[in-house]
Amino acid sequence: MGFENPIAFTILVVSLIAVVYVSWWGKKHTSTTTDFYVAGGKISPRLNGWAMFGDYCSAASFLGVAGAIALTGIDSWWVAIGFFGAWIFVLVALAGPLKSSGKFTVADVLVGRFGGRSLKFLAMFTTVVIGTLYLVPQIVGAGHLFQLLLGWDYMVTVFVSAFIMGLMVILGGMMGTTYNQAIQGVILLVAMLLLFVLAALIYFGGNPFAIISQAMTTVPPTQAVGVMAQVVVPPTPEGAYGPFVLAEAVRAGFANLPHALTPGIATPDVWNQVSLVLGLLLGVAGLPHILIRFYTVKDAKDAKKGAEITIIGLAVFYIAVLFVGFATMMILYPALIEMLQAGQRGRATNMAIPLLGMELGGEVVLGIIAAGAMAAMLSTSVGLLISMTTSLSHDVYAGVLRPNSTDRERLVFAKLGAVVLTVIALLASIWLKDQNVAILVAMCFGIAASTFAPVLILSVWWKGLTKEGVIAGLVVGLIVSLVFTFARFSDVPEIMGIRVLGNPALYGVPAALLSIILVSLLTKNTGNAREFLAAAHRN
Amino acid sequence: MTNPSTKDAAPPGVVYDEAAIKRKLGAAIGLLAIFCVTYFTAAVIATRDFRAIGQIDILGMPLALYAGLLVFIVGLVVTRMCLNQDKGD
Repeated sequence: MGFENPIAFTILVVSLIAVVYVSWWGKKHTSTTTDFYVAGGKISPRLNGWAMFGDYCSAASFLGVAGAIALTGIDSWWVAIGFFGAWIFVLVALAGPLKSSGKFTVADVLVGRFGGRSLKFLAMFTTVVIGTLYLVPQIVGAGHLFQLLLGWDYMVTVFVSAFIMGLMVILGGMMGTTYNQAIQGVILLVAMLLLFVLAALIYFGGNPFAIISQAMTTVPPTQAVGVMAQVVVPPTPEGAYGPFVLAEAVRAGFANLPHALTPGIATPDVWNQVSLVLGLLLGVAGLPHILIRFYTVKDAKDAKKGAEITIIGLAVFYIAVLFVGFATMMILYPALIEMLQAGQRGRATNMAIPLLGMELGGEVVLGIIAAGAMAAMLSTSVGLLISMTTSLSHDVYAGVLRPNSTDRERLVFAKLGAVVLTVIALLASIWLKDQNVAILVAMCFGIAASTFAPVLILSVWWKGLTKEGVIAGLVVGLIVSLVFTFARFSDVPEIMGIRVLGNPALYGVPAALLSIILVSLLTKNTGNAREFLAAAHRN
Repeated sequence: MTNPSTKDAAPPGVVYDEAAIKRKLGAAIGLLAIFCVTYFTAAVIATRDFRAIGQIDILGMPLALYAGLLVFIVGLVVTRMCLNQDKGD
C-alpha cells in the first residue's frame, strides 16, 4: 500500500483523522471522572451494543479467522464460534447483575460486597495483568500488519499505533471512545459484508451457496501444498493460473484429499479443544475492557439490550466470515499456495483478507479493509486502556492512595496511567515481536476465564461466597493459568505429570472454582451478602 | 456479617428476596444448559478424535457445519428467551 497505492492510503489516513476528531469531540463531554470512566452512564443501549461489537472484534476476528479458514478450511471457524458463545454466557449469567452491583470497575463488584483494600488491589492487579497482556498482541499484530501493508519498519508502525491509541484515550475518555468503537464496529461489519457480497457477485454468479458447494470440491491450501510437485496444471490461454484452475487441478489429481468443509483435519485432540472452547466461553466474562462497557448505560435492562445487539452483530459477522474465508481460499488459491511454499504461513493468514479486497475492488476496497483492520485494533486497544486506567485511578488512586483527591487530580492520574501503560505495552510489543499473536490472545482468555470469570459469577449468584474464597480463587486461578501458559510458551510438555494444553482454562477454571468453594465453606465472611444480592438482582 | 464500608450496597426500597433470586438462578442455569450442550457437542464432534461423527453427510454437507450453525441459532434463541424473561419479571 503506502505511496504505491495512493487511494487506499488516503482512505486509511482519512479514517484515522476521523477517529482522532471523534476523540477530540468527546473531550467536550468529559469534565468529570465519571464521564472519563463510563461516559456518565448516559450511553444508549443501541450505541453501547455497537461499541461492544467494535470493542470485541479485534484484528484477530477481522483478519485472523477468515485468513485461517482460507488456509485450513472449516476447522478454523471454531475460534469464531467460541468468540460468539462467550457473549451468551455473559448475557445470561453476568450482564444484568454486574450493572446493578457495580459502578466503574470489576473491583467495585467485589468491594461492594466484601469491602477491603486487599480485594481492591488484587482486582486492580489482575485487571492490569490481563489488560496489558491483551494489549500486547494488538500492538504486535498492528505492527506486523502495517509493516506488510505500508512497507514501513516494524518499530515505526508500533510507535505510530501506540501513539494514536494513547492520544485517543487522553483526548476523549469513554464518550469519544464509545462513539469511535461504535463507528468502527459498523465499519468492521460493513467491510466483511462488502467482501461477502462482492465475492459472491463477481466469482460465484451472485449465489452465496455456490461458495459452499465449490468449497466442497476444494482441497485446503495447507493440505494441497504438500502435493503441489505432483499436480499437473492444464495450460491456460493467458499463460497464468485462473482462480479456480489450480484448485481444480489439485482435486483432479488427488481425489482422496479432504475438502474445505471436512472437519477434524486442523482441530486439536478433544482435550485441547475442550480447554480452548472453555477458555473462550468464560474468557469474556473476565475481560475488564468488555465488562466496563456495561457500566456506561443506565440500568441492567439497557445492559442486556446492548448485549443482544452485540450478539446479533457477532452472529452475522462470524457467519459472513465463514463464507468470506472459503471465497478467499478459492479466489486466491495460487497466491496462498505460493506463500505457503515460501514458508510464509503467518503472512498468508494476515494478508488474505486485504489481498481479497484488492482483488475484488482494487485500491478502494483495499483502503476500506485497511481502515477496518485499523478500526479493529484501535477500538480494542483503547477499550483496554480505558478499563485499566479506570481501575488504576478509581480503585488505587482514589480508593487507596488518595481518597480525598479532587475529580481533576483523579482525571490527570488516569491520563498519566494511560501514557505509562501504553509505554509498557509498547516496550513489551518490541520485546515480543516474534511471538505468535494467537497464543498471546488465547493466554489472555485463559487467564480471564481462570480469575475474574468464576469470582464474578459466584459473587452475584452465591450467598455463601466469602472474601477469603474470592482471594483464594483469584490467586490460585492466576497462578495456575500463568504457570500453564508459560509452560506452553517454553514448550514444556507436562508439569508434575499433568499434560500442558494449548489453553490453560481446563486446569485454571476448575482450580479457581474448587478453591473458591472449599475456602468459602471453611470461612465465614460473606460480606453484606443479602444487601448486595438484593441490589444485583433488582429489576 | 456486614461490612461497614459497603452498608449502602442496596438502594433504599430494594429488599432481599431469596426465592426470586433462586428462581432467576434456575432460569439462568436452564438457558445456559441448553446453550452449553449445543456448544460443547459441536466443539467435540469437530475434533480429530470424533471426526467420524462430524463428517456424517446430511443433505450433502457434513454434520459439523450444521452443528456450528446451530450454535448461532441456539445462541440467538437463548438471547431472546433471556430478554423475554426480564419482561416477565
